[in-house]
Formats: sequence, structure tokens, C-alpha cells
Amino acid sequence: MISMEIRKGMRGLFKDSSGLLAFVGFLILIFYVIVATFAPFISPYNPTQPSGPSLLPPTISHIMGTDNLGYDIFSRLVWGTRMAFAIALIATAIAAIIGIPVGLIVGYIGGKTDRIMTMIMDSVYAFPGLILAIAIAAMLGPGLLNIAFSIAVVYIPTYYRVIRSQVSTVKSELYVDGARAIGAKLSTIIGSYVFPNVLPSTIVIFSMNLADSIMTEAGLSFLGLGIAPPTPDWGYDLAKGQQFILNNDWWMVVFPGIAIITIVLGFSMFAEGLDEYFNPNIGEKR
Amino acid sequence: MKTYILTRIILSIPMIFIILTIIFVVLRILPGNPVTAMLGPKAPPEVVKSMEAQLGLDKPIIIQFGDYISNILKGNFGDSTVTTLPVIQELADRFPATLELTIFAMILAVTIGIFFGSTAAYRYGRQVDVIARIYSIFVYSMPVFWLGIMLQLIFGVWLKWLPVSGRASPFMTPNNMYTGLYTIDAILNGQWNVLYNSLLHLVLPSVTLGVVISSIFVRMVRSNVLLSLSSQYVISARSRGVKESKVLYAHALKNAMIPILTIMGLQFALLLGGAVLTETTFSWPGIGSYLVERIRYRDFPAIQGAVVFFALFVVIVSILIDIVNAWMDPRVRY
Amino acid sequence: MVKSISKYGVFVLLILMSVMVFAASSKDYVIVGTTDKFTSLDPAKAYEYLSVNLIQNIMTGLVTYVPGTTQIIPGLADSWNISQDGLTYTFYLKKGLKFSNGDPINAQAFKYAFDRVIKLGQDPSFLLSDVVKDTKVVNDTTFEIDLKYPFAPFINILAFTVAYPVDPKVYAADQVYNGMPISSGPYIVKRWVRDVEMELAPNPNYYGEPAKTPTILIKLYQDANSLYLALLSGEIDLAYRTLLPQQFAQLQQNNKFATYVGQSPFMRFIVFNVKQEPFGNAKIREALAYAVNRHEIATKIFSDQVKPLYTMIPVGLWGSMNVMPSQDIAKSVSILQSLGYSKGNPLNITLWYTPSHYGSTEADLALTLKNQFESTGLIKCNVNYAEWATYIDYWNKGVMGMFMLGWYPDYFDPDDFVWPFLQSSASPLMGSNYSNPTMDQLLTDARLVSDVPGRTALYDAVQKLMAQDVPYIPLFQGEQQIAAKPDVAGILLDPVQIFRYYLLYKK
Repeated sequence: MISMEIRKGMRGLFKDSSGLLAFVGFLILIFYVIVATFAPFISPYNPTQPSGPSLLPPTISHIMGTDNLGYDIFSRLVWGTRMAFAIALIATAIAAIIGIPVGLIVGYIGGKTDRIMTMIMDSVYAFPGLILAIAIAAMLGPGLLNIAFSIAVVYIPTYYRVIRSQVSTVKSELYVDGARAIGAKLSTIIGSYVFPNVLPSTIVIFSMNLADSIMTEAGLSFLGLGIAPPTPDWGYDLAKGQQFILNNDWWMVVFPGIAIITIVLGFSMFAEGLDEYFNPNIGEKR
Repeated sequence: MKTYILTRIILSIPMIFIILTIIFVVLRILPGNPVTAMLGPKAPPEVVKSMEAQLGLDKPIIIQFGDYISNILKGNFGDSTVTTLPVIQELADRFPATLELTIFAMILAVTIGIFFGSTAAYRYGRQVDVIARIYSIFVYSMPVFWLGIMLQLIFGVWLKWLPVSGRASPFMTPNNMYTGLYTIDAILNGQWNVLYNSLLHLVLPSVTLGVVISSIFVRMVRSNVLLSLSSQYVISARSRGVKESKVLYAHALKNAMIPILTIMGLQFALLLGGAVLTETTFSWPGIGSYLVERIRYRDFPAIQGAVVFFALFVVIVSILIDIVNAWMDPRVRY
Repeated sequence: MVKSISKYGVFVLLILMSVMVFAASSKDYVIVGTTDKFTSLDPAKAYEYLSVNLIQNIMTGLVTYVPGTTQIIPGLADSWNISQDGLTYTFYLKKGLKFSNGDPINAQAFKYAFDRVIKLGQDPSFLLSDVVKDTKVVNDTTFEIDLKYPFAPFINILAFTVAYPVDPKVYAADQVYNGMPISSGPYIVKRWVRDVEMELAPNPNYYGEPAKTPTILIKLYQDANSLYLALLSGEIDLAYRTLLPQQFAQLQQNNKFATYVGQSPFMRFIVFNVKQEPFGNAKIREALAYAVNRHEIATKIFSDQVKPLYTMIPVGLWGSMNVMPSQDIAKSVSILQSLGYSKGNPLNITLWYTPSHYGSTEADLALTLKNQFESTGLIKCNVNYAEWATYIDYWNKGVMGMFMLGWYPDYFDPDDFVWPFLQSSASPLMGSNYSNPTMDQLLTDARLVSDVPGRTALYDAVQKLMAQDVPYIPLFQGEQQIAAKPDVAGILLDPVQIFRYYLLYKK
């Protein structure tokens, strides 16, 4: 199935070189960053206006075909990259901005606060994330920030849990004790001693969550809870494409699907590589 | 053991309470008046008022919260505002569909996970391992509904081998329902054609959900079996000259089973999230598609019921898994 | 080990296949597939299409329509009188009528049903509570209805499901009934697997001509694709509501299936909330109306399966008259320019739609309208959406200034297409808040006059005034569509859009 050459290459890649894994992920991400940045120059047509006959299969003028209203799918995918990044970054950032400080502080203080907070976070964590996001997204209605927020809620506990558990380990380390002994302020201890120690895990989770939130966003759009059209959005295009699969209009589902898969692959390979690099012995986290 | 089970159940009570609170908060700030949604735009204001009173929506929020908790404790989820049927009955009607789908998906995912994952670990760094890792990372990156659509396209539209939606063809529901699981009921009724029909309908949805979940299982099994392959236990078994296949399945895999089981329990929530999308993709009349459908109507009692139901489902499964774990490994005790 | 499992699997599969028995292909049943949902089979609650349509097949009322026409004929009633002042309706019931369970259908059952509808106050109750003052049991077979005011279309309301009798012994007076329905019509419900399928069998106690087919199976599908595939694969005999436009178009080309098309009174329109700026300005509404290209909508989105509509009263109903303009971008531009809008200072508007209530074409409709408005070059149109329940709330609260709705009539009379929209006390419920005293007067007069020519003249004036004030932009009128296997006969698409399962049979 796979040619000898590829197999050799793969074996080398996976044997013990997590760096390469991260590198490939990184390359995919760079590709998408370039696509997002230069969307106006790459996309041949306006993604929010019909640009040709409807339901056109891939041709020279429309390399990924058109949808039922004659929108160019390639242009929509190119612009949709921006939306994917925007929502994923905002959602993950919101989750990190709430999850990390709470995890740091609660983990450091410990005691009753810790137990209560952990129980709340664990409850949210144990809950099916997509279902929670569906409920919140339905409550907030369409809009970039609303969607991002409903995704963010799901990922707050991820940061909290990891940060808190690391903090509880770090805080009994000798140098932190030392800092406390010389009378350093709480914020200083957390900021200069504890945080740098948990930073690597944060980056790994951040990258993993980017992958997950792109998936969640696509799921929400698929269920009709995403951004209002005609804003280019992969999940919306995919949901729309599903309506036309019985007409064999495969291009409407295949291309947006490939876009989602590759960008998620990029993020998760990157995350996995980083994870193995930072925590060579811990292995599987998710 | 009894004490353990009891403690485990008591420990999950605050968790359930927190989840119920979160659900309440999330749903009560929804814009969209459930009463106008229910009566339609033509309803006169006084009817709307009286209906609000009837549903207790005119009371202060804190009292509504009290009512909500006490009703759930009594097993009363209210009546659907769309159909006026008790939500608990609607959930009971739809639960077997979700259960049947998740059971088949789980069986598939666990099978793939165990065989593929342990083989990959055993042949660490070899071709199988590489394929297993590519498989798990690739499948993990695939939106479950996209896989579902692709399978519909290939097996339903192009090859025309399998049905792409619903649980049964016309006249193909079991005559007598005992469990609500079509496959089981068909066997109990001796209706083999119904069994065949329902199995056909189960193939695509459960493969879709099962394959997506299996990606995580493959990873987990692989890494845990890797750990246990390097354990003292396995090394000594090998040195005693135990057959290699026995080393893998009887020793290494068995040893890795407890962490695997725990993590599989955690993934159950993910499975349910995936079930919502799978049910929607395949028009599967379970609780996931019920939730999506009722969100459109702002059917509060129904949404609330479905979400609470999912929460309880997750908690119960995690309790069960802990109990199984404790039973398998006497060291795990609180 | 793996090998033996797969061997077993093949073996089991072979056994299953050998015992597989297909339901004997026969003329005894017709399987109808639909994507509609039904929520209740209680006449006091049912208000959306499939619920109402099912009740129309398992129950019946005092009066009914001649199939395929809008002509009212006696149903459970033998005859009736309307008093000179138009306020008292007296019905004489047929003798010996029985529900499917053997209980009598008498005047008491009617009074019970009317009182119950009003008391329960569910969706369709206003149809009775708005006009009915009182009901009386004169004797077992004589039933009298007193109205609050003379209301010419009232007899049409009596043909609607809300006025059907229910068995007092089974249907509780104070709550919606969710059990197996008790029939007064051609069919009874024999089996009901909620959200999956429903099996109908003939009602032995039905007074009229018996149903033609011993079994009708209604199979519920969740989306158009599932329905389409079920039809193609032969799983169902007939698909009714609703395939995607291009799917139906493909079936029309496919000689393995017969397709049926009929007029429908269902219509779609844009609502302006005249209390929200800039839509308070009739000139702006007019400019927007000139920008709409109904033909593009009908062709591009609906594969010409809807008809452009230029008034609020659908074509096919008396009184309908085209009053709205066709697309005229130059006219639209000149109005906008006269109001001071330019390329640098465009008119900013938001068009709202709801994604789930009117099918999956709704977003496409909104986008196409947006592009038509923007083709003037002087309009910047945003598109936004809300789920149905939120949508209703938004229009009640006046959040949306410009949004799309659809209308399916409760009774087949021009009054039901203009009064709820244009009368000043009714228009807020539609989210429009339109109010014009001249209009109110015309509408009231049309209700009091009882002869058709007199009313036609008044409705002409109503429609012309509507076209002047433009509180709504009518877009298009729907079409009833059925695709079926060629051996299914008795398919009748009628103007009131009652689909009659009891006329179906296989050739």
C-alpha cells in the first residue's frame, strides 16, 4: 500500500523524533497562516457574492466548483481560514485567560477553595463538551464572539486542571519555599517562580485546544448554530454541502472537510510533537 | 465493596448538583420566551400570561431554581411545550435509540482500540505502529459528521449497499417492544428480518461514531500496553519463556486494562457529544437529535431534560467504571 | 481467532439473509414518507401542517370541502341554518353517528369540543374564541353556535380541525390529549411509534365512503435527503413534503416516478417593522420593494417550483390582484437618491431569517435578497438569523426591522390573507405595527358585506392601498408537490391543501 520509500521516511519520522512531528504540524499551520493572511490575493472571487453558475463541478475557472447559489467554493475556503483561526484563537484565548490564573491562584492557595473550585471544574470537564457548547451557543445566538465564548467555556477546565496540579507540585519545591521565606508577594511567587514552570504544559494545551475548538466550531456550524452567512465558514459550507450529496455534488462536502481535517491535523501534530518534546515520559494526556 | 459503591455514589452528588445548576443558569438566560414559542405568535397576551403562571415562569428566579431541583429529584422533568407529553416519557422513548447506537459504536471502538493499539505497542516503531499512529491522529482530526457524510455518499449513494438514515425500514419495527433496542426486541420476538433490517441501519452510524472514538482508544491502549510491556511483570514472564502472544494478551494487555478502562470511562462524554452529531447526520431518532430539534423550539423542559439526562448518563457510567475498576483491582479504594 | 470470528460473521449473515422476508408487495398498503413533524393529534392543540393533515384524515367536522375544490358541503351535519343577522348558526346532525370506539357523536360532543378548545387556549383556539360567543345543545342532534359579530368566513373555520368533535369520555376537559386518537373520520390510528411511523386502518364507524386502502403507513424522515433516498430505493410509495427543489426537479425527469404539482395557498413575504427606523419611511420600503427580483428567487433557489407573488392574496383565491411592481433597479435607485443615499452613504439595513422553520433554502433566500438589494449600489444589507422561538420573541419585541415570514391560512378566505396583516390591532402580532385608518375601515366593511362581488371590490382597494404603503413585500406562493411510484393512484392535490390519504390506492 505504502511504497518502500515512504515507509522508510515515516519510520524515521516517528521512531523517536518528536521534533519532526511538530515540524510537519508547524508546516501545515504556516501554510494556513499564509492562506489566511493573503486571502484577498489568493481567492479568485468574492466569497460573499455569486461568481458563476450554480452547482458547477471543479473546473479551471472554479477549481473546487461552486455551490447551489454559484458561490466559488475555493474562495470561500480561503477566506474561511480566517474565520477558523479567529474563532479558535479567541475561544482558546478566553479559556486560557480564565483557566490559567484561576488554576495558578487556586492551586497555590489550596485548602477549601481548591476543593470547591476543583469540584466545579471537574463537573464541567466531565460534561459532554459539545452538548454544553450547543446549549450556550443556542442561548447567545449567532456572532463570532458568542460562538467563541460558548466554545471557550468547555475548555476552561482543561487549563485549570493541568495548571492546578502542576502548581501544587511546584509550590512545595525548595526555591518557592525560599521565595516565600524571604517574604516575596503572592503575585511575585506565582508570576516569577510558579508560572514559568507550568508554561510548557500551557503551550501544549493551547495548541491542542486550538485543534479541538476548530472541531467544535465546525460541529456547531453543522448543527446550524454558527456564524450567519454569507460569512465564509467551513462548517456552514459542509452542512450545506450535505444537502446536495444525493445529487453527487461531492465537491461541496469533500473540500471543506479536507480543510478542517488538515488544519486540525496541523494543530494536533504540532501539539503532540511539543508534548513529547516537553514531557518525554508522560505520553498520552487527553 | 458495598461501602465503596456507596461512597462513590455519595461523592457524585455534589457533582450532579453543580451540573444541574450550570444547566439551569445556561438555559434560563436564553432569549426567547418559551411560552410565545409554544403558543405561536397569534396567542393573545392574557393567554401568554396564564401559561407563564402555569409553567411557573412568573416566579422569582430563585424559587424557579428550587422548583427545578425538587422536580428533578422527584423524577419530574415537566411536560414538553411542543408536544405536551411528559419529557421523561419522550426521553424514555428515545433513549433506546441512543443506547443502541452508543453500544454498537463502543463495541467497535473498543475492538479496534484493543487489537490495533496493543499490536502497535507490541511492534513499537514498526510499520503497524506507524500506521496505528497515523490512523489515530488522522481519525482524531476528522469531524464525526464529515466521516458520516462520506460514508453516506460512498455506501448509500454510490454503492447503494446500506441505508443512510433512521433505525428501520417501513413495517420493520419489532412487533412487541421490551427493551426498545430494535436488535434485542427483534431477537426476543423471533423476527429475524427485523433484526437484519435494524442491523443494516446500525452499520453506518455506529461505524462513524465508533471509528472516531477508536482513535483515542488506539492511542491509549498503545501507550498503556507500552508501559506495561516494559514492566517487571512482563519481563519476568518473558524470561520464564511464556509464549509471545500470551505475553501480549494475557500479561501486558491485562495489566494495562485498568488505566485503559478509566480513560475509556472519561471518553464516554466525548462519545455522547459525538452521538449528537452522528444522530443528526443519520436522522437517528435518539436523544441527541431530540436535543437539537427542541433547541429550535426553545422547548425548555425538553432541552433541560435532555441535557440533565446526558449529565446523569455520564455520571452513572463513570460510577460503574470505577466500581468495575475497584472490583478488578483491590488496590483502588477510597 | 480473528479468522474464526469473521467466518462466523459471514455464516450468521447468510442465515439472516435467507430468513429475510420482505413485506409482501401488495395492494393492501401505501407507504407515505414525509419530513414534516407532528406534535399532537388533539384538535384543540394541532396547528402545524402534518398534525392538522393527519386529523383531517382520522376525524371530520360539521362541514367539509368537496375534494379538490373550496366548496363547502355537509359533513357530520346534515344541514344548517344561518340566522338573518348572521349571528346564529344552527346545525342538524346526521343520525346514528358514532366515534370509532362506538361512543355517539352528538350535539353534546360538539359543545364539549368547542368549550374544551376555548378553555385549553392552545395555538388554534383563537379561531373559535375570537368569534364564538356561546354554543348550545338544542337536542341530541341539534347544535347551535352564537357569534360575537357577523363573520362571513365562519363556515370555513368549521371545516378546520379546531372545530372537530371529540369523545367527551376520552378527551379530558382540562388537558391536551396525547393518547391514541378516537376517530370520527375515514381512518383510525392502529399503531403509533412516536417520531418513527404511524399506521392507519379504516374506521368501521365512519359515516362516509370507506377508505380505499386497508393500511396507510406514514413514515417520518428527518431530512429531505433521507426522504429522497427512501423514495429512490423503493422503501416508500409516495413522498409528500418536502424534498429539496432540485430533488423534485430530478424526479420530474425520472420516468420511474410520477410527480404531481398543485397550487398551494402557502405564501412567503418580507415584514417591515414600521416602528423601527429606517423602515418607518414608506419611501424606503418602496425602494426595497422595487429591488426585489421574484423570478430570480423562484428559478435559482426553488427550481421554478414556487410562483412569484405580487400581492398578499394568493393566486387561485378570488379577489387576488397583482399590485406590487416587478424589479426596477433604476426606480429603486432614484428613490434612494432622492432620499439622500449615495455610494459613499449607503442605506444600512439588516435582513433577518430563521434557519429551521421554513426549510433549508431559507439562508439562500436571505442571501439572494441581500444581493438584490445591494445590486442598487446604494444599500448595504447585513444578514442575521435566529432560531424559531427566538425569532418569534424578537418580532414580538420589535427587535427585527426587516424579516421573512410565511403564511398558511387558517380558513380559505381572502380575509385571512389581509386582516391579520393589515388591520391595526392585528398587525403588531405580525411584527409590522402597520396602521392606517382607511385600511381598517376597508377591512371591517369587507367582513360585514356577505356577497362576493361586493367584497371583491373592497379587497381590490385593500390591495392597492397595501402596494402604496408597502408594510410587506410578498415574495412568492408555494406549490404542493408529490412524487410517487407510478402505481399509486388517488392522489389529489386540492386548493385548501388537505391531503387525503383515504383516497389513495394502488393500481
